[in-house]
Amino acid sequence: MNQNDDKLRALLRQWRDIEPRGNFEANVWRQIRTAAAERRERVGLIELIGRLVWQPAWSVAAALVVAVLVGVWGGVATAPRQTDTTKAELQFLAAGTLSGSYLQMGAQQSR
Amino acid sequence: MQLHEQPDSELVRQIQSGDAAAFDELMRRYKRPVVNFAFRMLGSAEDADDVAQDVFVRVYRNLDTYRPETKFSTWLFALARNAAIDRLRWRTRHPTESMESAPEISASSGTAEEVNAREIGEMIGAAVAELPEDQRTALVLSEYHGMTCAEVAAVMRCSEKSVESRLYRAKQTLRRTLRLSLGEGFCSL
Repeated sequence: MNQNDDKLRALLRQWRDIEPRGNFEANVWRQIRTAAAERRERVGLIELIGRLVWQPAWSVAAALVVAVLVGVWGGVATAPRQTDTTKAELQFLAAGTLSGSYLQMGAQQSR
Repeated sequence: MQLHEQPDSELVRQIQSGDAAAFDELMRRYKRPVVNFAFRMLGSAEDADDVAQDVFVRVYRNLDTYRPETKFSTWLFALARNAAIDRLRWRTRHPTESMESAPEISASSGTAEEVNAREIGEMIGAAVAELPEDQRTALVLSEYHGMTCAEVAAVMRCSEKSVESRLYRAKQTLRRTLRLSLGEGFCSL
């Protein structure tokens, strides 16, 4: 087994090493500088947004935008619930009264 | 003490305090092993160089996560393994783009002996490329970087037993594949 291992090892040695490119270090430093510059830009943008939010005019505008977005979202979220309520009311009326069944028929025709 | 005489841990400490020359020394020491590790994991010299550069960028950016009680080369090869796995995943996601950087078959120039050696090298490369990633990592670190099972286990974050079993399976598969591709002269492998 060991002898076979040695033979395999000797064969594997024939897969030779390669040399790194000549400009290896320079490329690594260039990538490090590029990544650092990108990080600085990102931090700069976040700082700018932070500073703007602290100015009254911009903070009021941002609050208005948030309020409008919350309103739109609230409207969209509650719309299906109103339809369900109407349907439930009609079913309740239809179950108990004659006028209720007329109302339900009317609703079906209008559909 | 000169930079080239200092231990890795001291170089790391100097880099952390902003010494660029210490990082150059670290690259000088380890660029060849890292490039060759990536080459044997990926089978492409071009990809190997790119991945090795990426490894050193990761080293520079993550040096604050390095713990001095760990051997630097273990940490470095763990980063190199992750970078190689990332590249292999990228190849799976981008099969057409990665065709350009697929394992190379070199032109048959040079003496008959050189051509023969190169062809054998390429067959070994092709056989190693067929191994699952974990077996390939264990084999490359153990056979080409002279690591012990304990060191390979530290890089791969697994037990020594599992490294031994991966090495055994990798060698069995290689023997079978190489006997087929290299012919009768290698029956005794």
